[in-house]
Amino acid sequence: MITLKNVTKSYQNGHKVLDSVHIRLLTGEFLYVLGGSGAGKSTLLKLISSEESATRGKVELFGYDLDRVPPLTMKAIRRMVGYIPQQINLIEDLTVFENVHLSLKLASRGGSGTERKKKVELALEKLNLIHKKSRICRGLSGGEAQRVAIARAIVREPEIIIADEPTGAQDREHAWAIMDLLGAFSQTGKTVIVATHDPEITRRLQRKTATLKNGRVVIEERQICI
Amino acid sequence: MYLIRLAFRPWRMAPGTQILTTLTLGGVLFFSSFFLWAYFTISPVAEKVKKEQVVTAYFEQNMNTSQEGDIVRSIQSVVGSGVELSVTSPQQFLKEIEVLYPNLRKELLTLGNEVNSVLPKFVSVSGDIPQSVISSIESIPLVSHVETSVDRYKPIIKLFSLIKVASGWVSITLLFVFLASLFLLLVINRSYYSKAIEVFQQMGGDGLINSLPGIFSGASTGFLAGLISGVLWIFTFPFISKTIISVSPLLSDIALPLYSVAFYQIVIATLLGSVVGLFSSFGVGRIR
Repeated sequence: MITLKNVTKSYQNGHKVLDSVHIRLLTGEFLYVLGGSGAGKSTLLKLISSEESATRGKVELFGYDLDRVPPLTMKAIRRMVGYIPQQINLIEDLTVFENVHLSLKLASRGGSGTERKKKVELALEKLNLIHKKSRICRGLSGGEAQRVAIARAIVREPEIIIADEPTGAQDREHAWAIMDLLGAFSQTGKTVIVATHDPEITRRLQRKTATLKNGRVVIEERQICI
Repeated sequence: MYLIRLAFRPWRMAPGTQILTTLTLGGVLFFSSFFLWAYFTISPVAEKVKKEQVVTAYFEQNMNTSQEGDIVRSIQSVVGSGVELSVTSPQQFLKEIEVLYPNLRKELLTLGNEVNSVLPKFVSVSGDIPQSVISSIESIPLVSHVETSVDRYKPIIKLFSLIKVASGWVSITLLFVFLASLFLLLVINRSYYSKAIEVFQQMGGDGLINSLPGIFSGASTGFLAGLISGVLWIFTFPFISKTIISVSPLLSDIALPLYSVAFYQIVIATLLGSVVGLFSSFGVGRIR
């Protein structure tokens, strides 16, 4: 499903963030990406979500090399990925409902208008946002905005969910709810990658981890223990 | 609908800039249209002036007043009633040279009654006169000879062609100013929604969806600029054209389009806005 082969990422100032990273993730697997601040977690997720390209090496999604894939296939791949960036980047002029609805529309999924509406409302319910569906996103709190971003990603029922610090702005109650939601997602055969620096999260929902150290990844297997 | 709202974000975020720039664009478009109108209007006027000539038919000196009347009627029948015809008698001739040649006039007046036999009597015919008509006038009995002044308006025609070329260049330059200003505005505007475009790209939106806010933004700004220009045209053009016509009767036949030009201004500005908006969308968003 997701394969990173010998991936290196350097920025223009020469700073090497990732160095010869190897990761292989199968369908339905759940991976935590751990590491300190500035360790390169977000960069790794940006590479997998096709937002940035690797300086060297190969990133493959669904068997496609992202550096060689034609634009139309790239769009199709992106439609099958739910990306929750650290910089939430909601469309501030739109309501909560519209932001989530737009995601579903862009994924060209969801069937008729009524079906789409139901799916959006269901996603908002799961993230405790249904009562705020008509609110313009500009006025939301950081935690609410983050939950809208998660709803926006899950509503399209993607094959892969990539979440960068999805609980960073949440209280404990919402954080557990989000992790439970992502855990349930992986149990339905979807692949989930979560970058976090919160050890509480990884202790509660134990999964495979990839810890970033000096730009390199160390993978550790853990047992599921909810 | 979401995309249209996104396209109007700059109007919500920076209304002053949008209003001021749109007003300026409307003004630039108005002047560009005016010079374009001048470019296309001058040609037929110049062509008409080019054809305009004065034919002077001189009478035999030894003829009486009734014969003069017969010749004038004959010439009028040859040239047709629509062509202007004027008879110059010796007295009128003396009056005409009074200012330019006062000494010559004084000398002629000393001749007394003999002046009538010395001074030429002639009929001037002005207008678009074909060679066949000139030949017909020449063949009228008691017409001694005929002169034409085909080159009478040569300097004016040259001036017209100069104005035409200048108008064309000014119009094109102003059109470029319009396009460049619009492009600059739209590139600035796209910074208000480029983050949203990145979101679209990340979610797998296609090229058209990425470009639609830019196209809407450009089309709406173009439409408003065209509307401003059209309204300016409808309200100021009658006055401007009246002033131009009052400069010379030669300009009395210039075309005076009013509502059609205003309509074209709106349509063309909207189309240009859409195209510029599309171009301004290229490269928007930083994801690959």
